[in-house]
Amino acid sequence: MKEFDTMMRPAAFTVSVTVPLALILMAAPVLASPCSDKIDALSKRVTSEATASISASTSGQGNAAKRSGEGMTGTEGQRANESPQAPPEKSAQAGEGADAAQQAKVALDEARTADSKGDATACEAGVARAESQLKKAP
Amino acid sequence: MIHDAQMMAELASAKPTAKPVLANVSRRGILGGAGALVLALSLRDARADEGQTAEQKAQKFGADGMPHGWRDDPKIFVSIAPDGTVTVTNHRSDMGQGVRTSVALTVADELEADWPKVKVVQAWGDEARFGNQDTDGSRSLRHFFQHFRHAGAAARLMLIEAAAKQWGVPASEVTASNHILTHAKSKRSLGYGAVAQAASELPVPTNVTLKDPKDFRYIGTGKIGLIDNFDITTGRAVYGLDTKLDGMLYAVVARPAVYGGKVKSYDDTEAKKVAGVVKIFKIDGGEIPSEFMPLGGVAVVAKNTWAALKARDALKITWDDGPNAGYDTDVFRKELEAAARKPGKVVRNQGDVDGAMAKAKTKVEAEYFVPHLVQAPMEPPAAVARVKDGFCEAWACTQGPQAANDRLMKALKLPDDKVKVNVTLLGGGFGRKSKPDYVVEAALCSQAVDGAPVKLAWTREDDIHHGYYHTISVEHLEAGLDEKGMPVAWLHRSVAPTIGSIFAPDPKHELPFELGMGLVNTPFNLPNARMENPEAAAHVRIGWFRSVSNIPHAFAIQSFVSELAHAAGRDPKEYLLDLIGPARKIDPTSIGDVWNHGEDPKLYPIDTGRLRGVIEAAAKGAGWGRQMPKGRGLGIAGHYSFVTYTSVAAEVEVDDKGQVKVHAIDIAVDCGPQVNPERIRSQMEGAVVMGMGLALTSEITFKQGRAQQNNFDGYEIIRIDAAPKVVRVHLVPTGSYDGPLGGVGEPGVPPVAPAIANAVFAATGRRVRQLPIRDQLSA
Repeated sequence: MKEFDTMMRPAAFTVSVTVPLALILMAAPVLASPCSDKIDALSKRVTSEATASISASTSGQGNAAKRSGEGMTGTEGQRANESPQAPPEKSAQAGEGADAAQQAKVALDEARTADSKGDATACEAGVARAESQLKKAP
Repeated sequence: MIHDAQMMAELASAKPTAKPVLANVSRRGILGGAGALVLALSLRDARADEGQTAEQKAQKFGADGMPHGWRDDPKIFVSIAPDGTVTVTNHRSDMGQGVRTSVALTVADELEADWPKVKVVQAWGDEARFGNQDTDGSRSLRHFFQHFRHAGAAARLMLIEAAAKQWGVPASEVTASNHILTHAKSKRSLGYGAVAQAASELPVPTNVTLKDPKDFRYIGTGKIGLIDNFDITTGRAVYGLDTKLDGMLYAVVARPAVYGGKVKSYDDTEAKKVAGVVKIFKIDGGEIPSEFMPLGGVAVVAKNTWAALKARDALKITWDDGPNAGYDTDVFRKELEAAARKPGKVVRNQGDVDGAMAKAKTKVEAEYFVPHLVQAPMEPPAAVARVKDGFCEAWACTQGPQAANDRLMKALKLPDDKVKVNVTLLGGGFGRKSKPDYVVEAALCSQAVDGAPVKLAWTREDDIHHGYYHTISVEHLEAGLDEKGMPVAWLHRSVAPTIGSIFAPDPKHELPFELGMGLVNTPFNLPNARMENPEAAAHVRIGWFRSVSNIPHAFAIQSFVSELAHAAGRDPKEYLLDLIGPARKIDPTSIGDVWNHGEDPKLYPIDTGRLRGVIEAAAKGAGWGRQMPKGRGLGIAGHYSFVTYTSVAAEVEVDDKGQVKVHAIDIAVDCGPQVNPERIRSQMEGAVVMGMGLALTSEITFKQGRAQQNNFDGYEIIRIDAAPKVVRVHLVPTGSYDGPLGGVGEPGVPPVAPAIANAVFAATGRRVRQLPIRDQLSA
């Protein structure tokens, strides 16, 4: 029953209630709900934002992006481009962006759970929250 | 070996008072002559990121994501004198972890240098030149091992090329081995020093072939002792407190006892009467957040430390204690507990915890408490500074010389090229010396006495009263268990003031990097899991303490697992392994970790197989499952932190007075490729001792905003008679030397306390849910 709970999508309920349970189970993976489609669409963005947050957690993408390659040979000529910059974990900017990415992930997971329970309203709310959090991310 | 004091003096005299400089200028100064491979700089093309999207290129991880990234130019890090002496410049701070040795042996191995001919000098703070120098986060070798290999290998190729040119033979026919360049066909050979000058005139090769790890002579062998051993054991090594300059004065500061406190007024009439006092002045401060800047107070500069201390005692200061005057940790603990019992900010929510909890066969709930701690390095914070003619030069036992450089610029309103921070050896750090407030204090004192050099020293009491404390936390855990006793629902609320509170108006929630230290990234095989982080305000400076938030998270989780095992009637080790589940690699972002220690989640997934491996290794080492005599027990814990896997099995005895004696510790570590096994063992042994301290004795409490402990009589760390007779370190070999490294400095600490607490339970049936254990079991 637990497996059923996790597999079942709200769309399955649009099929006639007389349809045997087995058919519902077969159809479930195919008949995704509008909300589950949104979850799928958002998943990559959330993962991408989380990865970007990891990248930004030390010195930030902005700092890293100033370098086209990974490394630099030492040269004083770089100094002008490399003004001292504390990592966000040691600055007033600590956690910026990462918190939004984390909250987006929480919201998306909550949407996923709601979706699995057939709660379209809660699913949509979770998706909306995830989208809102992603907008906050830099 | 160049003596550290000599090295410091050479570095100090070598660096001009204005930047930029050429690397070779200072290097020539060090070596005292021409003809060395210390070359003028030439910009080598950075390795390109082929095939990456613009977005991916913008995402940098590990060393590349750190401020100022990394360098691998041998012209920065390697010099060879005409006599063949190889000097490696180490840019990471050595606080006992032995990074000076590990960096040098890495370069030397790829260089094919003869170890006795290798010495190391310490870089000053200059990240634009050396790459990132923040020596924390267990990052030094993790971030720089490969780059130092490149530096050594590039230097070797340059020597080969120079020898080949001298002999008029193809470079491919010349070999380098143990400081000798050989052309076998013509049976000619040269020492490294003979071609150093010629090599110095060659460009740095861009295509460098690293040695096959099977040919390593130093890396991974465990046969190289500390390069500073002789100096340290004979008292010649120079730590921050040892620094001496001609005409130097000595200073101490009377700081506000309460975080955010300010000087309302002071009377220095009596203090000025103390013989030897030179200057007494007020240091501004008291701002919240304090960041890394001084707390403020009244400084006393004198001709000797004793006079400064006596004068400080004679000061009559009226303080405004500020907003934290009421801070009381007993009261605050109750606030934390109340917060932990109510829903808080959700930071991971997987599945349906409430639904599963409601359906669970049984439910287990527990709360754990970890108090404030202070790093208390054996050498308290200390710095010497000289601010003269618009230039500030400092010598400090600092983990973050660039951070110190930046704060000096801010405090003195000097440009970057008018500040220089030299790095001494550190008598311990543990995170305290990442914050350079004491370096700034020293500079302000020098400035106040018209540029005379001033040594600013913190006493042990200063260190304990005015620290950047480890957070205080309550961890609330609930689990719903199925009929087999395994969790179908897992709820963890972590409540703790955040380090972020020293940088910005208190966020009152742990930051993602704190949550990523063993909370959201708990790698258990859980169908339903929710982690929450209710609010907690900070009332003291919260700072990094070796292994940071992993301490409370690991203590709570690994204790709770043992409690669940007991509830299920299962062996704790087998239960823990079942909870971790089968070997698999978890993308940290898939469980809500948006930090991952700054490492690429693809390169550094959470590998539960490796976590299982260290648990098995520690258990095997401890003889897990053997019959224990009455009053003795074995406990186990495993933890993932700093992208390394560690596990501890503890054997303890609890006597009839409730006193805990730790007889043996088995600690297993899988940190990936092992660069310097001797140092890894030492770090694990040190982590065991530190972990035992916080498990058994260490605690900082506050009343009326003031730390109640003064010295090691009140803030007890583990003493030699309490150290276990047996500490076995099990190094679990993993991975290729071309693969990712894990951290070593910190990951040993987190599993120690829960392993001991679990062993206490095994011995007595009594559960420890708060640290330190002290006399909890005597009642």
